[in-house]
Amino acid sequence: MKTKHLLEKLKKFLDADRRAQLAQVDSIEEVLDKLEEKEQKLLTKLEAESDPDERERLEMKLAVCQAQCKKGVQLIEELLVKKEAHGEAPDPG
Amino acid sequence: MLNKIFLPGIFVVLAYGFWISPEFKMIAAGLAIFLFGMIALEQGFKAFTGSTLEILLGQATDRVWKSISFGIASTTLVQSSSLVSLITISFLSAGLIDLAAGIGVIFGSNLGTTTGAWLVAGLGLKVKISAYAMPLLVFGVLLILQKSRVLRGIGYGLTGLGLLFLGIHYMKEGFEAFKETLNLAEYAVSGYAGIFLFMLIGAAATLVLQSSHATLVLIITALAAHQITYENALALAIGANIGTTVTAMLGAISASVDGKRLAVAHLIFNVITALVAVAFLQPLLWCVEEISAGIGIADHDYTLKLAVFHTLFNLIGLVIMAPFIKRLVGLLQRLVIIPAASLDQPRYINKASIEIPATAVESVRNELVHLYENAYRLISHGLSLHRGTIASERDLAEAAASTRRVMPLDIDDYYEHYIKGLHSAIIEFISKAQAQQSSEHLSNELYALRQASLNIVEAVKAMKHLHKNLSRYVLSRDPYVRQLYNDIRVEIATVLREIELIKGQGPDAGTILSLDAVRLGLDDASRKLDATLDEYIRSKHITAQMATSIMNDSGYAYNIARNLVDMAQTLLAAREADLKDAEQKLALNDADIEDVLREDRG
Repeated sequence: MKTKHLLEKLKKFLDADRRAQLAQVDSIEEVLDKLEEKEQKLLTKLEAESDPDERERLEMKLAVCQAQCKKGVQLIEELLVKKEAHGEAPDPG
Repeated sequence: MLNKIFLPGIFVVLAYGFWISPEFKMIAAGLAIFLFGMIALEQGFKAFTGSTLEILLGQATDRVWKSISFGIASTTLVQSSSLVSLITISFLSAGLIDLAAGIGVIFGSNLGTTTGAWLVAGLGLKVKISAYAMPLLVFGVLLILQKSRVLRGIGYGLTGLGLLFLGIHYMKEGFEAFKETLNLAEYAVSGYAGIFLFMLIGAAATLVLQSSHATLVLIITALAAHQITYENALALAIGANIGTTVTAMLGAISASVDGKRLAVAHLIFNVITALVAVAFLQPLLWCVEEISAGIGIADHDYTLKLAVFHTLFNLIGLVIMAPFIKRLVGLLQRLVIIPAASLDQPRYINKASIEIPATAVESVRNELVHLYENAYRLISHGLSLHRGTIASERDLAEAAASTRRVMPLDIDDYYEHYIKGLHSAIIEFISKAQAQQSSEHLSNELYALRQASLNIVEAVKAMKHLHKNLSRYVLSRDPYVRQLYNDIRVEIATVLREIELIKGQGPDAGTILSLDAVRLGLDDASRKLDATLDEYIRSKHITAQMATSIMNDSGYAYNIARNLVDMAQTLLAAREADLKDAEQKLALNDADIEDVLREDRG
């Protein structure tokens, strides 16, 4: 039993693909955090802005930021599905 | 010229020496083996440590005391102050560390290098190290023949160590044998005349050997065989310290301005330290005796006492000079001035920065920022907008509309002077650096940076085409034509402003994703301009001929902006490979941008 457990651990350690995927998820999450921060700042600016041209510019920036966030979330989901395929439950949250 | 006379001269003297004395031949061969061992050891550290030393240097130099500690520790570990100096100059030339940090490392390295004397005097002469040399050489060479870079690195390290041991052994044997035929100690000179004479000899020997470490080993082995007096050995050690700075000065000729400043700082440090050592020689010797007695060094063990002296006077130098590092930086900045014509000269790419792979990439990146700044100056001038206006929060459309004068600009001349030469230098440097790269990742980075340099040049060339009509119509009496050209100016200026904003944020996670919004804005502005143009043609506000010109110019403007955005995408991306990869995955492609535009309009 103990040997089996150790072999399992070794397998996980040697599984470079899985580790690379996890690292990718971490990096994407880090970028997503920054994007969310940026989105909040843009929303605050937008609320305070009255100039229509400037509002249009901010709205466009916001649309891009949201599209990037959406892309990031989709990517994480795809990577987590792959992780599940490795026989492991996805991280909660 | 000097080498043409100097080198044959040395050859003749050595050949004559070999002919008349087999002992001299043995000492010289020992020294040659020792020096070759140092080269192999450096080679080993370069290959083995990869970027470890560089990462540490980048992180451990934000405070002066950290820089000094790094200098002491790294030089003690690699036993080569020249390797540490080389990496420091590379980092400084690439703009990765500041001058104060560089000076701290070099000062620390001066103290770290004194551990070599302890190793040779304490271990090299007491133990029969030649016995260790043979297995080290065999294992080392076997490892050098392996394919793995790490194993080869260890191989070079072991071979280097083996050669060092063997070299010391031959020098020791040579001096022992020499004693039987000729006693060099008979030529000892006492008093201050002797001190200065032997200091000169020590400096000259270091200049020839290109290593104070080798000179010191020579001094220690000669002292152990009683071929030189203790007093003269001390003077030789002081001289070796000065000699090593001359080597550094010669090395700094090809370095950047900061590299030159660092070499001058090294010289100032070692000259002041030497002067202090000579002026206070008697009190210093008293201290050496006290310390030696305190740590149990035998009364007649002059080699270890020399090691104590060497460490002590370098430590005193460090204590005296460390508090003045900031002032020294100020002095050096006044003494060694950046040439006025540096706008068109490369600032970061040079022979020193090509040595280390990571600094080669970083120096190209910094040089590209320099090239971009020159291009930014040219483009903003070409648009007749001040850089201050572009960087401000002022409404660009209003700023463009209020233009009263076309800024004079000889665009061809500016391109020849400030863009073309720098771009060529970058391309040449990248080609050379790529030939030296073993890492695919760094090679790809260099490729991307070359593309970024091309983007800048393409943007400038498009500006050259646009400038002809822009300077003619920016103050046109026709309000419609003027409006269209103002829109073009605002389109480019907006991109410049956004790039400046992103540049100001630094290479943080997700920073370059802001460029997607710039691209979207650019596509939107371009479409709006086309729509306005169509409307003006239909309502006959402008002629079809004029419209064709504006369409061409709008194309140039789009070209300028797109090239600048592409350049920024490479230049301002996150430095960490994982983050950069994540950013690239989240960046919007043309289809995504189209979707956002559609949703925006819907």
